[in-house]
Amino acid sequence: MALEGQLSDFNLAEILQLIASQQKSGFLVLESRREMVFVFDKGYLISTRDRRSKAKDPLETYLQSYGFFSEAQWKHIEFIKGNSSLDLTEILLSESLLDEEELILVLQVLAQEMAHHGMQLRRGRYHFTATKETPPGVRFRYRLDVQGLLMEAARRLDEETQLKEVFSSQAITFRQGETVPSPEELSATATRIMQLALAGETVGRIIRTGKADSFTVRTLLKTFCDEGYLTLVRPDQDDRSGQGNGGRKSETSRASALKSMPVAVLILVLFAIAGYLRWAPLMTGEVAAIGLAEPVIEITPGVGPGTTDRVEMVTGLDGTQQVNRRLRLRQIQHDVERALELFRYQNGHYPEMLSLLVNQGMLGNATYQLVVELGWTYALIEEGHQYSLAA
Amino acid sequence: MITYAFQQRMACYRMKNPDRNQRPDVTVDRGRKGRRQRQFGHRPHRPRGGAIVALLVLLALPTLGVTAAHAQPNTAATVMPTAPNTANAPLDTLHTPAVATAGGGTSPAEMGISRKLLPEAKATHVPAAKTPRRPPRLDDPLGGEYQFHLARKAMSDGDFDLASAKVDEALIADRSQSRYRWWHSSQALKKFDPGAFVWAMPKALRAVVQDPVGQQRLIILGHQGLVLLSALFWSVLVAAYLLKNWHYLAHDISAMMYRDPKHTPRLWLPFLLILGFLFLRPGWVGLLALLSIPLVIQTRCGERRLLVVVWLAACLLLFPNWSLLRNAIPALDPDSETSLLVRASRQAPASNLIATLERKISTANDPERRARLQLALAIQRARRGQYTQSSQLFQTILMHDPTHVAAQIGLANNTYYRGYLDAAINGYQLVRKLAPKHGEIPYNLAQVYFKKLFVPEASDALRDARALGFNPPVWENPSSQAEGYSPVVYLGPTSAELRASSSWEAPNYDPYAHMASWNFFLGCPPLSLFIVLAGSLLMAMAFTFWWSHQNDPRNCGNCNWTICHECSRVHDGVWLCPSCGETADRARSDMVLATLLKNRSVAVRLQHSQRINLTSRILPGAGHLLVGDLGRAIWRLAGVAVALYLVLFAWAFDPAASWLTPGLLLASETIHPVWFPLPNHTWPGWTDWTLAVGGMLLLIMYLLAMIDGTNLRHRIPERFLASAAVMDEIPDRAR
Repeated sequence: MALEGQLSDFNLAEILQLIASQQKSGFLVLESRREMVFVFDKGYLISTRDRRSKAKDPLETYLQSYGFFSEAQWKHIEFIKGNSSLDLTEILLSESLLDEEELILVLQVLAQEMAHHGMQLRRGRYHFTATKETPPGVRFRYRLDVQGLLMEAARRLDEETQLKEVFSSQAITFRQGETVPSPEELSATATRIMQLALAGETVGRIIRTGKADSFTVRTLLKTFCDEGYLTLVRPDQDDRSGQGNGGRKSETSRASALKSMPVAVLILVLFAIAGYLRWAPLMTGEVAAIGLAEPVIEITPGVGPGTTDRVEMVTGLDGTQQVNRRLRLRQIQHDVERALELFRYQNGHYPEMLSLLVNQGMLGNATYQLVVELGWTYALIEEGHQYSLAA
Repeated sequence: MITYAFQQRMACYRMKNPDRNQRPDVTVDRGRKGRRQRQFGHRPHRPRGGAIVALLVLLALPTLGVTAAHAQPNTAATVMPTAPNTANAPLDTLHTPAVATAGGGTSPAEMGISRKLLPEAKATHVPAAKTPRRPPRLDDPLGGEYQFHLARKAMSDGDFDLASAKVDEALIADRSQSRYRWWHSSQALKKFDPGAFVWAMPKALRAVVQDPVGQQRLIILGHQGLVLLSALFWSVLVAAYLLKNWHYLAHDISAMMYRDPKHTPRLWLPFLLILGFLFLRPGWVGLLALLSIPLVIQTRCGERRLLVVVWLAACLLLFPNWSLLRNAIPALDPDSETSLLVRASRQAPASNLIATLERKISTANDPERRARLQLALAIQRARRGQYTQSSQLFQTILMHDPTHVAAQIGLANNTYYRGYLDAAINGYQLVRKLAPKHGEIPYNLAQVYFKKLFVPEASDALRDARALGFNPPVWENPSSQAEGYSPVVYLGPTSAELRASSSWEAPNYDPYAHMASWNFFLGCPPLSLFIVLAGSLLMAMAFTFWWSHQNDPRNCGNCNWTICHECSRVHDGVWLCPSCGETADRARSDMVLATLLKNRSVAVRLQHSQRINLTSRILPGAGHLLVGDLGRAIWRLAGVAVALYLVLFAWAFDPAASWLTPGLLLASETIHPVWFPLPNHTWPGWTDWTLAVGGMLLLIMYLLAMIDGTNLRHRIPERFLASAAVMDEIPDRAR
């Protein structure tokens, strides 16, 4: 059996009353700006967390919002969560971050706050999925009477308006009041809130680090002010206003540094210089020394009148490579000579020009082009019985 | 005059010239009836033929003038021993003494044609006017080259059958060229004709065995190919090792560079290492050597041995003083003395060749070198018809080495061409005792016997020649027709002599001459490639021994990851990697500790499984390295290397090219002198068989890698399975 509809038609209070009166078991899901889940067992609220939900765990949100743990503790929790399939409640208990009693209290307060928020919703959908027996897969369940929950939520709704008026700004701070409370009068939470307030923290920060829900913190602060323990200082009155958390040093991450920055820089610079020395010449003509590169013709203009320009072949090759280059040139020359002999074998005479060898397929076009590039000259001599092939 | 020529020669001529009137070795025979008859130089062998032949011989003898009375003074008397008992020497055989026949003989005595009635003959001599001005040749190198050119042309027109036929003709004309056979084999592959390939390849291999210069060129091509192939295999091996050890490299570089006690691996750091090495522009094998240094330090056991073996193999391949390789370099030079010797002994006579040889002889002090040059010059002189000068050169060689087979054969050949047939026979028989396994000698002897019309002896000699493996195909040389002389074979320099010549002149060449255009591509001149490789190998060995802890590996007790002694932690007596150690330190309860360690172990295992899959797909074989299956990794990596070699480099090699090798090119002949110095004009297009086969092989290797990926994922190595056992060692409080 499913019960669903719009919150505008049937609000949370009415739904909870129905479930409680009917002693239903199942899951109630509210879909608004954020999703809320209430799990019931025979009319009692047993959890507000659903591990199957994609939304963030409300317990984690609650704990993070109200400063229950330090940053290091949260990293530790995240690490364990990331590396195991343990539930947050299991982690909190096994890692001794909260004891069981505290955890139940936290979960109940969370349920109270969620009910408070749920009753404020005017838009959204609800969907109740009933189960025949106790809903399965619920971790760390408790048992909360729905009627009490509704009454407390209604109270909070009533007082919320007053609190908003008193704490109209999150930047409000406090000073020591005329009256000093005796320590016995204050609970652990109240003592903590008092210390934070006297430390000059703003309302916003007290709420975020007070380890209690927002409504409770604000109620306590209002009570302290009413009793004269604290005096409320609005931001425009406070000479320290505007500083906010400016005096606090942000916690810097412990970034590891290079072992020796100068050495690292030196190595980088050496690499850069070596790279430049090795690669830059390729862009500026070192190709003339690579492989069996051709020499370059350099013309030096003659100095003075009547002098001629000096033309010389400049090569980047070392002695060994020059010898190898000449070896390759001899090979090319021999290829051409063999092609000439073949032509003569076929036609009875040498060709008038080398291009005829290419036409008859006796000499590759690439070799012919190379011969032209090299500037070799071919000529018939002795009435075509001999030829000359010269560089 | 009657001349019986070699049977095959005539048969071939008939086959080639069915409608020609003019026929070679056709002699005019004036028979008993005085009719002018035409007879072919060969006839089908019949049992009765001997009698007819004997009859014709006897009739023709007076016209030959082959009598002792007409024997002219012998200029080659020193090599023409006369028969001890010339009076008893029969003319038509040297084996069977003349036996008087009674009644049943081939020719009755009363007919006046019996051997017994012939005058005493001391020698057979052809008048000088009838000797050939230039000796006929059994081969025609230029003709062979021309037929090969036609074969290439036919192949470019797509006619493989015609190309095959032309190659056959080229080989008939010049069977010494092994490159024709290689070309034929490669074209068979190109045409995807396995039958032709299987037929041609063994012949190509046999041809190379008989062609010393071809062998040397093949050694050079083989060396170039091996260098590229080994560099490729080394490259894929280094790539696989990098993929496998990337995390460890990142860790180690982090540990060296950063003040981070956890040695957090920064995965970009190995890129910095590669970039740093590239900055030095060490060339291809130089880069491989530099990259291999950290990898040798990282790897262990079989993997390290494999890397070092490949490195050593590359070192050995690039060692510049292997005599086999060094001595092969002169074969690349058309003007080298080795090439000159080959040309002089094979090619038609040329004045420039003779001039070069004479010039070299005048400066040669080494007697062996002098003998080689003199032999080549003697052959050139003989081919010019200068038999006397040629014989003098042969005799000069024999004065220093009386057992020189080629000189003795050459001398006998010259004697034959000068018309002193018996002296030539004696010369051949003398050298035959010296070198009984040379088929050329009985072949030459057979030609003289034919000239003397000693057909049974000629047939025997030919049979011997064939038995010794000398059975040349027939090549019709027009110049041999007029003079009536059959060609005989001049032996050129032997393989040993050519090797000796190469060895003599090899120091004049750069040992890396055949890779001259790859100098910057492979290494970083002026350092020699060998120095680069050997130096870096020594450096790697030193580093390996220095970092001794690399030889004392320890694995994480939880995830089994190889750990660093500095950043690892000991937790309850178990060595843990930084991550597991941190996990263990964080956990304050036993339940969390057990859960976290178990989950981390599983996570590492899954991560490793994914890595195996990924690396296997990036590079076939790398995944096997990750699971420790070195054997399969090697052959997969080798497959990739061979495939890449076929695609990238194999097309540049042409075993049929006379001079071209991909490592010796002008810069303008290369695709790019720095990045890809291979010949630009030999690019065969994308449809070439090497590219097709290489591409197919690469595809197969990657398909195998796809299949392997799944299998490897299921086959997590033992060390990762061991992590489950390690869990048992986790302290009791954790369970």
